Amino acid sequence: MQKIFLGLLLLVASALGQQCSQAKITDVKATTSENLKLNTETAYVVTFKAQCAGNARNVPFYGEVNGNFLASSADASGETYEISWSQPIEKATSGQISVRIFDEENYNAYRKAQRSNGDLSKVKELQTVTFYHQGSYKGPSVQSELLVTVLFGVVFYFAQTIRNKIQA
Amino acid sequence: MKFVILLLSVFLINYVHSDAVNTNEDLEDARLLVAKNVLNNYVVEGLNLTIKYNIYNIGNSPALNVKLVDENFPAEYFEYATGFNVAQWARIPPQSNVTHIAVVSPKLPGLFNITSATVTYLPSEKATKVQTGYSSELGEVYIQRLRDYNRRFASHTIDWILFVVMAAPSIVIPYLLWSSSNSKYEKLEKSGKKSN
Repeated sequence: MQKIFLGLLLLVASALGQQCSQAKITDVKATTSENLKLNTETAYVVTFKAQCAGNARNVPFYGEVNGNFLASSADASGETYEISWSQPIEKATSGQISVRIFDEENYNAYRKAQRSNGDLSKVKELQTVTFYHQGSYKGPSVQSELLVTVLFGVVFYFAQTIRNKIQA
Repeated sequence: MKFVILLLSVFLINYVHSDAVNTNEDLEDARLLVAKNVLNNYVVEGLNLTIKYNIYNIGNSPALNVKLVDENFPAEYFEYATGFNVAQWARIPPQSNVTHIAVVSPKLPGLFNITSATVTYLPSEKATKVQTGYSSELGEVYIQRLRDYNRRFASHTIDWILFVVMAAPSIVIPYLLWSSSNSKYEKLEKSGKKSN
């Protein structure tokens, strides 16, 4: 059953035949959401344009982030692609994030190498996109109202000690 | 005007197929479930509203020519910062999922109805009839004014500095008056002691 199923998959893949050879990736943009109060999760979005030989559109690309593969989505024109994912804010620590973009051929080669414990470094990605996530902004560490309360507390204490001195 | 959107409580996934469904193993064709979620605690005018679409293929064959169309954010009310209102996938393999994230920013405050997105696809390579499905929807949300949001959540540092400046005269002026007369009497006291 499984073999038939795999065969069917291959058939579909070849029937579709939409592959991007000699992909040229341009206009790479990466954005992350950084507002802790506004967002429930941190979203990471990488968009890019890809030009393929034979003007193929809406072809699959795959982004590898920390060993996980994410399939790209294409816009209405089929030329701009997006790879996106989200993480709970606590887990979205600040730092460098790199996304390796693979085309279908390299993705399959990577998967095959993974299955057969082959050399993964031999499989080359199209491009690596690195960007920096600042971490979610939690606001200033000392609240301004606290600072003002402490300031007026000090003033009050100072006034009170002088008053006590005079009255004594 | 607190408006918290509970992310998963509104996880109403609409079944995409009209045929009777027994179990997942029975699904020979592709069947897509679409969840549309808002990753925001608050929806604020001019600030980012993050929408996440999750598409699950619970069938046993790949869904082909998948097209997700969301007409919910028209250009006169929303601006797309990133992501697409029409997202396409050539195929979604069986038992797998894909995500798409769009970030929009509302141009106007007020009540707004977040409705479902539409997904169209071919459930198998033999299929000629395009399947249509709808995502979950969130219903009405209130888009806050940016001013109201800032009043609540901005750090207010400038406000507090102004407060200190305004409160300072009522503390500093009596203090200066007191300290000047105090020093005067102290001088008098000292000179009085000397003359004695």
